[in-house]
Amino acid sequence: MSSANKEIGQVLLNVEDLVKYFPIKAGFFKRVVNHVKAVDGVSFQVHKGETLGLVGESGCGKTTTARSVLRLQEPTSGVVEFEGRNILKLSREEMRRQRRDMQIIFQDPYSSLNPRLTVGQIIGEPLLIHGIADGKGREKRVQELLEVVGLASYHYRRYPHEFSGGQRQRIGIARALALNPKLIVCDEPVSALDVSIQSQVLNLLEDLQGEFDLTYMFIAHNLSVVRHISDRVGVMYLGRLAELASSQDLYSDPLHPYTQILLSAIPQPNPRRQRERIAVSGDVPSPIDPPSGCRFHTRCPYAEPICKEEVPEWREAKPGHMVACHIVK
Amino acid sequence: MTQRKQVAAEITSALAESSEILTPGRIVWRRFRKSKLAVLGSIILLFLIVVAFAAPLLTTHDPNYINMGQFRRAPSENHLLGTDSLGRDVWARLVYGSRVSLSVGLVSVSIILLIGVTFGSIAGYFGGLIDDGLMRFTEVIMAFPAFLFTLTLIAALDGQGNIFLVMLVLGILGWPGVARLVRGEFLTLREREFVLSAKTLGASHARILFKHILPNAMAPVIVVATLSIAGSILAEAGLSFIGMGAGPNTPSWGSMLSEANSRLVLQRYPWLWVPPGLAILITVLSISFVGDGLRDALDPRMKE
Repeated sequence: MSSANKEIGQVLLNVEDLVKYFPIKAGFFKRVVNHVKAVDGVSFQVHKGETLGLVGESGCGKTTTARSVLRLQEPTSGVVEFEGRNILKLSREEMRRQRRDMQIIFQDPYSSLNPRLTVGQIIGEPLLIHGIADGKGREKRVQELLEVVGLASYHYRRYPHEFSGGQRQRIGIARALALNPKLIVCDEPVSALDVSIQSQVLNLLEDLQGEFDLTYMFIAHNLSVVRHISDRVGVMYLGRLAELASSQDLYSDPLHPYTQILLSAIPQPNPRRQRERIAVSGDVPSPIDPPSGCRFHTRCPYAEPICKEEVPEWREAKPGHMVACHIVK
Repeated sequence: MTQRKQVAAEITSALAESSEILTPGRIVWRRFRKSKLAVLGSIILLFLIVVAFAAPLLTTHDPNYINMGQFRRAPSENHLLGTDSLGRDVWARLVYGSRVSLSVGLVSVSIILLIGVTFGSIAGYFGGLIDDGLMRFTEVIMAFPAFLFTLTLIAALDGQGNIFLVMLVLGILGWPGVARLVRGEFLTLREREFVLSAKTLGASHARILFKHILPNAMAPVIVVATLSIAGSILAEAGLSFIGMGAGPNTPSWGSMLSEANSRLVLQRYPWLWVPPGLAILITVLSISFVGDGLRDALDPRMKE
């Protein structure tokens, strides 16, 4: 659905074999007894000007991937290259400067704005931190940003509690835009909003992308939203990528059984066009002790013995269509 | 058509601009005002503060002037609340005593806040080993039998009669509760998205700590601090009552009460102990009312 004439440039973000384990500590001496393997070997690239969608169930590691990419959490291992530079190796000060280029929009608009600051202070904070503009200059820039995201200039002196969810999300977007970043990670930016407001915010994000040359990494669990906004989509399951392809390919010709099941679960607006639903059994296994081999084999309707034994290779099944599955030829 | 729309838009924005901006402080004040007891408590406390400052204007007597010729005289025109066992004017001592009680409360709570907020913030913000170390230390302080320790410390430092030592000791022993509270607030706030957002913007530790976390952690701390002012005043009164607090030359409500340690005084000379007793009661009650009012007003779950 996304505009096909968008210019897709070279690689902006390159993530290789990203791993994030959270240690589980127990006992008096806080011994590490186990790990939650939230992200376990994820590789993907984001190209300049595109929107990469990332979908998956709750707890599959989407948010952890996003936060690791921004070093909000230190990844356990892996490589995160931004414009060819491995940002995991940057010092604190270098990273601080690097952050100008990579921003985030959060899911919960009620938790993402400091209730004790005015909207002007919130949106102006990035400018203050990076010493870009002060006094009158900052106020002017903030007023511009308010206009860009569709808020009024009198909102400048208001506090977040006076705004609705959709307006708050716009404030969050304005804050992310303030530094003219190259990459914006959108961590379920519309999941907490009313459906009618969701489309407004999505349209705003699309408009901004064109206007400011932005690259998005868009995380969601709503497949229709992701399809609407993404150029390419990655599907995650239990800390690993199952499939990654252009959204057209992925939605018309899903290869991985998990993707097929997910897509069959999208509600159909037309009741007469019943699609065949593929049933899936059981719950998502625990990321503390994930299944061997292919992580989906415990629930996969097509599982074969090899799926239990070997981790499927992350390979290009068709041009530009990556998948990790033994069954797919 | 478009012109009409433009006019409508202008009117809306003018209306919006003219209406009052609700700062977080104003919201709290609005809610606080609703509790009658809290307002009453604040008025009484303000009155007490005025009394403490204006003490020399409220009495012509020297609170420490001993006149054995005026032994335990009943209230009269000259001595409004009578005189005590050393012939000192009870009203004068009561008025000057408010200075001691209020300053003990304020100074010891300042110390509690200083240590408690600092330790709690550092432990909660940095976590890990720093947190473990600080929290174990806090637990050690909490495990001390406070009253006994206070007595020992005052005795060891030979500070009998030194009211500043009492303030210091109450402060040094009182902070663990605040530290744990602040740490807990920090642990939850640290993971809030606006803090993560500040991190993505490249904000320094100091900025995140002081601008984003601390202001949002202060609400419960203010409540606890208010209530521990009452606790400190009571503790000072208790210490003075047994002669370990304010010295004989410092008029304090607690030391005035210590006159009441005989049945004779309790039965025959009520003006010696009823005024200081009432003063303590009213002060502590007012502070509690204010504390409860603040608790309700600052509770983020309460919506108007």
